[in-house]
Amino acid sequence: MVNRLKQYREGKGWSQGELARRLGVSRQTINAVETDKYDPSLPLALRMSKLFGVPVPEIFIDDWKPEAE
Amino acid sequence: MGKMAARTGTTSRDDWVRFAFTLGMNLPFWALMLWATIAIGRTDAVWADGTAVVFAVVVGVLHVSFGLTAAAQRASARFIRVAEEAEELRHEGRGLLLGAGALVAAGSSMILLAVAGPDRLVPPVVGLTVAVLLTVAAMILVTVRRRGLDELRRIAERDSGYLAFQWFSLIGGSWAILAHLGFVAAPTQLHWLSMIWAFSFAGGIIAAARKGAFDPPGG
Repeated sequence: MVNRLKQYREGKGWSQGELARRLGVSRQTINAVETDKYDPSLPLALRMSKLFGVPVPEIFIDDWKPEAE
Repeated sequence: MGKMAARTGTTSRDDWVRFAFTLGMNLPFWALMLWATIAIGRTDAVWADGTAVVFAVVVGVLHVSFGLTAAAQRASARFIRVAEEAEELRHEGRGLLLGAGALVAAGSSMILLAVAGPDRLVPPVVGLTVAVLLTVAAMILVTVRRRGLDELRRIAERDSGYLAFQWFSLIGGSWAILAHLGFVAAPTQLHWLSMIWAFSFAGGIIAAARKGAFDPPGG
């Protein structure tokens, strides 16, 4: 899943380590999310959303659309 | 540009610091292993099982070496100049040391078992007692370490378990089938033990690499 985590993090002027510390995860987790190697759990995605003050779909972009009824 | 050059210079120095610590911790162990191999090479008793002993020793040495390398990373934190990397090493220090302890205990157990048994260098009772203690210690350390893992590492650990089980089923299972049908010699107990640790170890490395756990900091 494509995401804009790096843009939001850089917008705040934080390093990966700083963001990791604020979210209570390892720096590797942030790196893996930013490089699309790992999709975070829902609780972590929600924490990111709260931290940056934007809805989850603003950070994580999913092209899936429901079928028209 | 100047800032970039300074940063590159610092990173390069830090790489040398890490390398020096890794070498410093591993060299005495490798020297000991070399001495033991030469000393043991004079006796035939240890080599009775042939490849099983070599396989077990290689698996054991790899475990101990990686454990010592992990401990060296933690020990080098005080001397790393890039503040964020030093902080990361300090922050992960407990996990690194617990993982290092588990690897050293598991590896030592394999090396010990390779030279223990009836008519071997280490008597069976001593081999059994120490191997059980080392294996239990490795399990306890792994369990304690798991409690401090974040979600990426927990998932990498779960994936490593799947990988290890697949390889164990494929390689160990195929070997057992071929042996059962009389095509090859049956794997020995030492082969099975070595496969358990070797596949868990390789699975852990591959699963962590796939999740980018060894990637350098970005941005």
